Amino acid sequence: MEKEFVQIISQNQGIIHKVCSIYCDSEEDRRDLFQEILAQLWKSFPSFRNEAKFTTWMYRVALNTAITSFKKDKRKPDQSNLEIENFQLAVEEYDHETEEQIKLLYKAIANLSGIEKSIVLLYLENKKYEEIAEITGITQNYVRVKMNRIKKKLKKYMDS
Amino acid sequence: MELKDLKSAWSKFSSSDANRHQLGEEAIYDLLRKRTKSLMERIDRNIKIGFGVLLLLTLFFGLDDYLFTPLATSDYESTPLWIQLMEWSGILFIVGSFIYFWISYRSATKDYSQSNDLSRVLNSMIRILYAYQRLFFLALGILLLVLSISFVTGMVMGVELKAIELGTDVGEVGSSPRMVRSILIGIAGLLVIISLLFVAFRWGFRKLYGNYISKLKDTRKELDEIE
Repeated sequence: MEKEFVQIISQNQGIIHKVCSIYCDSEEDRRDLFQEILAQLWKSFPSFRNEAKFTTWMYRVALNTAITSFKKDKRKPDQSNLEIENFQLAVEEYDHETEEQIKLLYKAIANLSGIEKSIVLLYLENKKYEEIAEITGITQNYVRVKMNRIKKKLKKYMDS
Repeated sequence: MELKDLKSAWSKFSSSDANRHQLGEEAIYDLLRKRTKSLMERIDRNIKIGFGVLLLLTLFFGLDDYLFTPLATSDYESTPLWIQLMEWSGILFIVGSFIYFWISYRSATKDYSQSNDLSRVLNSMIRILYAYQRLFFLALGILLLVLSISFVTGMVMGVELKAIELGTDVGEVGSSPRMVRSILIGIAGLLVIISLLFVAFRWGFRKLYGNYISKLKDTRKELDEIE
């Protein structure tokens, strides 16, 4: 079972990296969260039934783990000083405009709650409201309402 | 700028970022092998250890009350009935608390899995943390109870021994000003120790998990507002 698990995670690890990049401010936090998500996926793997798509299930476990993750008390980092390397594109894909947009997006997202971050991530990943609802366990209608509020909130942060 | 305008930048960045952090299968195996325990696993381990320690302490105090002390004091008058009743109620309290605690902890953990809906995950985690908090205070309560019972028993036995030593009546020794002063100082000392222990335990728990419990409750509140 471990072999099957590692193979399937290896193929879909992008999901975990994306969740970590939205919820973590530093590389250290990111490593910890990656390991925690991996452990939770492994622990929950025996109970995975093919009722949902594997990626849907993976998103759910990863997001639940990120939202409920336990960090020892430390001062909240200054959002204007987030680690620069977190937002750098690979050299061959370098595009100054994209990088600036991403920095702006991250600064705005840092002000959202855990649940809002999960909805934004799924929206950015082009998930339909139906799938966002399935992953987060909230109703489609509310995902729509919440998404509108988040868009306004983010626009306000990005424009200011 | 609108969020939808950033989708393409996100797609470019997130793929580049995921590639930068990509791990091979061996590295994933390594992470699984070296993984540290999660908070809930650590709490589960601590609760089991705490439960075992409390059980051993209860056994020890039970044996002390009904085996060691009667053997050591067989030459003296038997322990007064009211002290025996106090000891029995103490043991009943401890056993009752264990049963209550174990049932509530099992029911909180039964349902816990990160693959559930977020609201179920949050509810389970909050219940587990509260159960953990209860164990903390249960341990403290038992410690304070045992301290108080031992203190009262010690005082009574001390007065009795002193009376035997002086060859006088227990009432006479107990009401002497020196003895009254000693009893009052003893009670004051006990109250100070009890208060300090209580404050220290409470502070320690809040320092470790207070903010985390608040964060979970805020998230649950946000979800409740949604529904």
